[in-house]
Amino acid sequence: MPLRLKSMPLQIFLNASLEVAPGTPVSRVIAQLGLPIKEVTLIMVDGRRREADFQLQGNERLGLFPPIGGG
Amino acid sequence: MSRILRLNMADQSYRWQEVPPAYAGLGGRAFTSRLLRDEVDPTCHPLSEANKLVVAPGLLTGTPAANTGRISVGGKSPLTGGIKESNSGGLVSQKLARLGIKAIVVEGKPEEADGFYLVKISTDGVEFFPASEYEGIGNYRTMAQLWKRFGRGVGVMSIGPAGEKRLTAASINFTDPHGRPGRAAGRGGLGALMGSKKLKAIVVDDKGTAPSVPLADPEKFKAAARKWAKFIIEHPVTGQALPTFGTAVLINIVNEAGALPTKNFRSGRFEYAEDISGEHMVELIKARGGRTKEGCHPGCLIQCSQTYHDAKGKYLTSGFEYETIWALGANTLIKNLDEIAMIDRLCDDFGLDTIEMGCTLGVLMEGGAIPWGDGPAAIKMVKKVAKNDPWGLIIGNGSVFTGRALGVDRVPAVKGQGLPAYDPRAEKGMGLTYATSPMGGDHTAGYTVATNLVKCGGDGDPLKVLDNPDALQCIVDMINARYGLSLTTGDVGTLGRQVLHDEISFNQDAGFTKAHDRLPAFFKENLKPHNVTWDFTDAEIDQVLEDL
Repeated sequence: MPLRLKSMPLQIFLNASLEVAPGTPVSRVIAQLGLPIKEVTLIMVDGRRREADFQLQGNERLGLFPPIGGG
Repeated sequence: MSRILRLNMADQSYRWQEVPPAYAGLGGRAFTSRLLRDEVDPTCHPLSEANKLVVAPGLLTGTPAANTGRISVGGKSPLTGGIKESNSGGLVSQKLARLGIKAIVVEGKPEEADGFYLVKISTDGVEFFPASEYEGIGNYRTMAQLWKRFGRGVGVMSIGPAGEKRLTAASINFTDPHGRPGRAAGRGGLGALMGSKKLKAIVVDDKGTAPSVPLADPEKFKAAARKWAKFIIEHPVTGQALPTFGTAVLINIVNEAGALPTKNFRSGRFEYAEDISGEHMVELIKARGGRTKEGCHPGCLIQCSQTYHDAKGKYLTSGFEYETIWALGANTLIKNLDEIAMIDRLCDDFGLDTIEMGCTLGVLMEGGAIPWGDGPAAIKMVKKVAKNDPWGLIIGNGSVFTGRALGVDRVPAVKGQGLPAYDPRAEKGMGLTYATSPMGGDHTAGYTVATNLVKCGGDGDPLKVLDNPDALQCIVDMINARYGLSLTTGDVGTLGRQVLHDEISFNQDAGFTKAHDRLPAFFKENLKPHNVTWDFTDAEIDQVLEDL
């Protein structure tokens, strides 16, 4: 199933679709992208905060963020 | 010992007052709200002589500690009719502290026929000058001329045409370290209060003062201040994200969370969020020769401000904040960052609150006065505020007033103040803050975005500052070493509750009831993408302040 990926850590900015097998944890996607897992502190799946062990089923919108704050 | 400076605008006189013991441990908002509670009749007209404008540095301002240079401005709000504290960066706060001034209280008002005045405060004392030559002039030129007249680097707080006209969306602007009006006490129309006092500007020159205010225990202070600086630099948000992208770093993540209010709070995601994101802003700044990092006051380690140039590489605006970019961008569907920056510049120049103007432009578009997303039309509209144009008088009075003028019932405001940049349906904690803050629709009183959305400040642990259990203690240590006190973190919590008591009781006496602690009815509508609504019962909302 296609997975729409939306990731914008400090220096990386990409919008792409990835194919993952249902049940793939977010942590594996992060590793596959070569992102430093420690710096990805915020994970959003379909706009909801999730942990790195959250399992993707496909067709989700994934956002990976470094530490962010402000306002 | 520091003193309180009272300016009487009725006869342009001043007097010094020793700080009463009950005020000794108060700074910033704690000071302004207590003074208003003690001295201002909550039922007075905000533009009448009975109201007072209070300006107070924080308890640690003027010390060498990092990030202690912000300032609180208070008064009965011309916009909400309730108590107000609005705060800002800039140069004024630290200079006041070094001059030994705990607060300025502006009282009385001159005859209507009188022109505007300007007040200069320095080691030589306090002087009043007629300010007719600056009347009708924007904050950019006013500040440039005042630097020319009184010396580069003096602190200035001033109002633009909006404040002079006593429009209720008017801000008070503060010089940034470059002499620009990019910093503002924006919320609540305090610029109109300053205008009603016929006070165009206060100039503060600290030449001849010691670099630091006196410290009761310099060694202990130094140790705590060093620790404090380390906390700020080492935390990834204050040490990396904010300096790199400014507060606009939030656009993408709040959009991703489905909480970025779009088209006058119709949906939680903006199709063009990336075009107005902090990441895109930084790309443009770098390509055009602006500056990505600037402090809003000397001694700031976070440096989340910036200098934004236009496409030709010419200075356009500074202090380009998340709230501003959301309000003038996603909320109005304007997706061109240069157009948003131009409106921000006009707001700083005319002395207008950018959040209120964003909500107001949304209401204007809602009412069909200008098309959605039309940046040039919005710029043209905002320019009318500085002219003798009825449209300018309407929009300069904010979102609720504009809604009335146009017969619009979809107005995102609580207690008369336009809402900030988080949809209360998808960020419900902020909704409770909007509903119950004595300030009206405000994002600073209970900033649950940190814990709910971005996991900063712990997952809901109010005793952690910067995710560090020692940081709050560190702040208390600095206060103790500055004043020779032995406060605990518990005392600080008690003080916070006391501030809210002062503010809520002021509002109650001004006529506010629980019925005012409510969000507009349209928040019952479904919000995409999460399909959520504002579903708290009135009883649940009232619980927020019950145990205070």
